Amino acid sequence: MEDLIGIIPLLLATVSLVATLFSLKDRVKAEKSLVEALQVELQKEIVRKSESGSIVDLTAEGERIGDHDPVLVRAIYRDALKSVGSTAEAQSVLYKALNDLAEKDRNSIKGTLKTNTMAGRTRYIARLFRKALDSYAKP
Amino acid sequence: MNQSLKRHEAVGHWLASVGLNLLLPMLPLFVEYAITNTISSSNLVLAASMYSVTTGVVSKNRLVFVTSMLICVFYAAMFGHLLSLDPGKEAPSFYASIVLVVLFATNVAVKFWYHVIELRKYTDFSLGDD
Repeated sequence: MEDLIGIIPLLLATVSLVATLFSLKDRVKAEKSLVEALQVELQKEIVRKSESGSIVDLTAEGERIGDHDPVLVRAIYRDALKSVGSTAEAQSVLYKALNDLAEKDRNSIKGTLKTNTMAGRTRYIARLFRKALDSYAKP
Repeated sequence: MNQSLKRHEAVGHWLASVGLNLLLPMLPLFVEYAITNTISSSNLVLAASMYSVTTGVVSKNRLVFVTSMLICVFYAAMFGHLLSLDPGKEAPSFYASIVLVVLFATNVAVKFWYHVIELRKYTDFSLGDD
């Protein structure tokens, strides 16, 4: 009889472990989506700010001045993106990227931003931008 | 002040959290086992009850919260039941040791979420920061 009753908490604990692992998986997916959305918004921002904003245009411009160095062109473009990520535009880029996400993913990230400390929030946002920049056009 | 946190530092905060928040509360059980070479059912059941409530309150998942509270109530009731048994009779543990291990794994995953994914420092106490 005790063995039979003892199954109940065992099942509940297993449910709790599985639910936690699924939540963790969803949370990782939400962050991946946000990093991708940040990349898109950063590119849009640099295009908006510069006539030769896209990587294609930049490559063409690089070739036009006779540089023919795609690594240098990518490095310059990355620096341009980085400057957007480290200035006041970062806030609007983050808002836009958050709005690009599915509601479930957005709520998951909002949960992190709301419950973290101020220092933790800053640290987390900086990491998101760093990931968005690092995975794009690394020279 | 540099607030950045490298990946290996985040892992360090996670391990500190696992050691201090998850393993340290098990110390009475470890000590009992070291001295008597066994752990009494009542202590296991009480530990499972306490451990489940801590799992529920740190989790962000409602399902985990509800299931943890149910486990807590179950083992709290069973602890009372064990106290009412004849001391000479062998007491059941209701799989408390296995449940403790599963809850420990759940807690480790939750701490991983907080410290490695969300980059929370173990010492990042909200009242002292904001």
